Amino acid sequence: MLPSLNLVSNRGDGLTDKQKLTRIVIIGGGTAGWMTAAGLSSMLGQAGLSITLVESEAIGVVGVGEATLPHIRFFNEAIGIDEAEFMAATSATFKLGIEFCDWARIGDSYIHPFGDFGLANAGIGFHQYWRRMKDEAATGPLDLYSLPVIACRAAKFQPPSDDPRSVMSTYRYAYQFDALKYAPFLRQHAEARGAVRIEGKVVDVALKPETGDIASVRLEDGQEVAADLFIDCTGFFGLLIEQALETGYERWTDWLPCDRAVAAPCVRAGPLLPYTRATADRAGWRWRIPLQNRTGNGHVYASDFMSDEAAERALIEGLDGALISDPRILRFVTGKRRKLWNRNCIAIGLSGGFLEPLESTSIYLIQEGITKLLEHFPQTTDFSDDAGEYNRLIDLEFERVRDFLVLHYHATERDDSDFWTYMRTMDIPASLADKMELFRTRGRVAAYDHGLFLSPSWVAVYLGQRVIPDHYDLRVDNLPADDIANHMEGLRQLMQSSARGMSDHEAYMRDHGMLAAR
Amino acid sequence: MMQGEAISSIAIIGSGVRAWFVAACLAARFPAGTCRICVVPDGADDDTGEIFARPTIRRVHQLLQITEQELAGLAGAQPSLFAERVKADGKRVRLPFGVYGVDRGGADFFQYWVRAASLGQVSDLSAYNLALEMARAGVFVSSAPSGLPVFDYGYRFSRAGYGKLMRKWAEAAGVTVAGSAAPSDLVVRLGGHRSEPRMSGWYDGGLFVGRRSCVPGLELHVLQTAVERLIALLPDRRFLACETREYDRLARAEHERIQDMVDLLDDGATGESQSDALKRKLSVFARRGRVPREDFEVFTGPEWLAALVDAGLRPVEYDRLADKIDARELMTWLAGVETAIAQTIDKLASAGKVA
Repeated sequence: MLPSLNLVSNRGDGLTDKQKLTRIVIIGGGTAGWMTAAGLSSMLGQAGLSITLVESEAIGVVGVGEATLPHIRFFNEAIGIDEAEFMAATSATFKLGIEFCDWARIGDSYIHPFGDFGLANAGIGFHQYWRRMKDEAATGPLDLYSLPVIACRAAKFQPPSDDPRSVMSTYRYAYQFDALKYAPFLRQHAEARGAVRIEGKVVDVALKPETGDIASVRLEDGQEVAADLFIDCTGFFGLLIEQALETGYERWTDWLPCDRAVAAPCVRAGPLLPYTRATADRAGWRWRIPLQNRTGNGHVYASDFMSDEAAERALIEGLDGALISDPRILRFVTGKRRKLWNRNCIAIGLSGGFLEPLESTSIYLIQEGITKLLEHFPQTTDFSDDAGEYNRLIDLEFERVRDFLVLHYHATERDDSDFWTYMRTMDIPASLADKMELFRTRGRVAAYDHGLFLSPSWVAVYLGQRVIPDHYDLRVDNLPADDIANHMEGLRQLMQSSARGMSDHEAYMRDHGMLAAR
Repeated sequence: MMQGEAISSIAIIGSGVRAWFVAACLAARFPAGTCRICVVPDGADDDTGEIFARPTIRRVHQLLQITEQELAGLAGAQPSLFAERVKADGKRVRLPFGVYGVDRGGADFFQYWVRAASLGQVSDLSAYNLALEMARAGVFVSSAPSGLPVFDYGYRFSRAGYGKLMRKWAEAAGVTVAGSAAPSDLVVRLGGHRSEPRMSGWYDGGLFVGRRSCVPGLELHVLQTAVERLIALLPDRRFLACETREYDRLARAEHERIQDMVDLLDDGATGESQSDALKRKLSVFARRGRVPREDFEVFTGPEWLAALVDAGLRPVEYDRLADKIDARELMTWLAGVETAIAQTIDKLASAGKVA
């Protein structure tokens, strides 16, 4: 039997008993604010914690169509959201991957899917066989050997199977949705689990003179809102983390120089596609995110290399349907706060940093911010150690995403603009340079256990970006070429026939009550 | 671009079970006749006594298609539910291959145990670990009944028996014994001498695999991962620097994670030469009972937990998520987990399912 534990500080350093942490205030609504409110209230609502969110209807939130990663399904499930209800409420569509057009060369198109290539075999990675056979006429691009890719190109969708022996179990999926509608949807869940909303605009932030921590915020109507822990979801402005606490920002603009996005919705055209498209342009790239009732579009560009007028023109010329409302410009600086958790303030969402949405990581980073907070959730108001560990983990996430995005730009053959020449010839982070050298040598992906993008994603982008390994695993040469060719033909047919058996994307949604009422 | 030539011959310098284990693992990766593998005995044999295997050895047996019956019959295999280290002070600590309790509500079981300990009395943590309790009672079943704490198991083998089994497999796959003069495309040298703590990696154009026997099961584990890593990064005969560098990076990471555990077991929480990763584990655990994991951990979460608790560390706080049930439900639930384990043990004992 063990004696009771003493939960008061036992460090003997003269600190007074720490206060129990009981009040959290989230400043800012939008996706970040309401995901945080929903996540915290779902998991900690009955743990003696009060959760309040302050937002102002007067402040516009950034809502330009969002694509996501499969992780979001775990988030929705953890907070008790029903998929069909969520999809109808947010005009969502399914997402099986991202198509990249014109990146390594104008005219290229490859899809980075949520799944691996070929079928699992305990031996040699499929892309090694592909590398040996790539110059044979019948082989084709790597993404012919991915079921979700074939499904994308045929506008099909079926949820994956649980049976590990089936090819239908080899992929995952995410969503594309109207983030402006996700926030109110989450708000219902959060409020039902005890989160309290205060309508108001923050006009002042009061700091505690002795510690520099945030004591309270004052609203336009004079209300003071105090808390033990503040979550800054105020977007780029960083009202608390930067304006009040002056945390500082680490810029990554040398590696990722895009600093503007012009966005506009347009009328739906053509079949409802189960993927996002990212088309490289002369100084950035344009996104196309299909929603149920319209298409979300944007052009991410570097203002040093293209004017706002030219960027807007390129956006509009690239639309496949009529413009629904005027384009809006957003300005941003790629990078992250030096510390996302500083004192008693945690920045979640755009206030914490910005990486362009090329691989749909924005909502993922919000989700990670919330998950890591829950894993390190302090009992008391002394949480500098928690903050240190939180920051270490979040920094790793940001850096690994950053490197993956830089790869898309740097691994190009394009020389048709100053922007592309810059991206192709710039000095890249050393961590990425090592990884690229390893892959170029023999198609090996440098391993790490923690990090968002695993081997299949790196393989998809390397090969899609025409980073072709010089050599391959030489054990592949032990098999006769005909045997490999037959195996690959079998795989191509398996992928094609499996995709044929899948439902049409829009029909699936209609049949399962996922379409919003018109 | 000059094409590299494939490695078509490998010499393994080593003896006994270690050499034949590596030989079989390598031979299984090369289709018959495509690579000449030989063992060059270095006289460092000492295949007496036992050798332990961690649960990860299952990957090897699956690859070689060796069944548990063969292991039992030919290598005297017994299931092993923990790795036991005899520390510098003579005390023993058991690192379990199974989890403690059952997680709920998003919080680890350990967090509930810490909370319960702060409220009243709890049993020793090991009472909530089915693997440890089975081991203590001398009973065994190969998987946890539904709802009970899950576990995996490794093995203890007779060194000589397991060595013979591996040798038989390897020789059937064409591995031969050679004298030291055998020329080979690749030389793999197995550290056999206990005074050789040198890290595994590429040295002088050949691969060296150090010997780790500080915790039972590591000896085979390190040999297994050395082969897996070599195959994942299999070079050609030019042994290009970026491939061997990546190998060394991963081998170093594994070495450090093993060293962290040994430092903790031997020196406790106040050791001198702790790595940043170990310091981080200690400080985060002391604070809130979480064990941060690095890339390429060797030991599992429950093993680290056992080692930290054994070192006398207790967290100052517990996970807020464990506050969601009221105190009475907490104590009842914990008692229920303990009882379910004890009842399972009793049933196994009376059914004669001895280990």
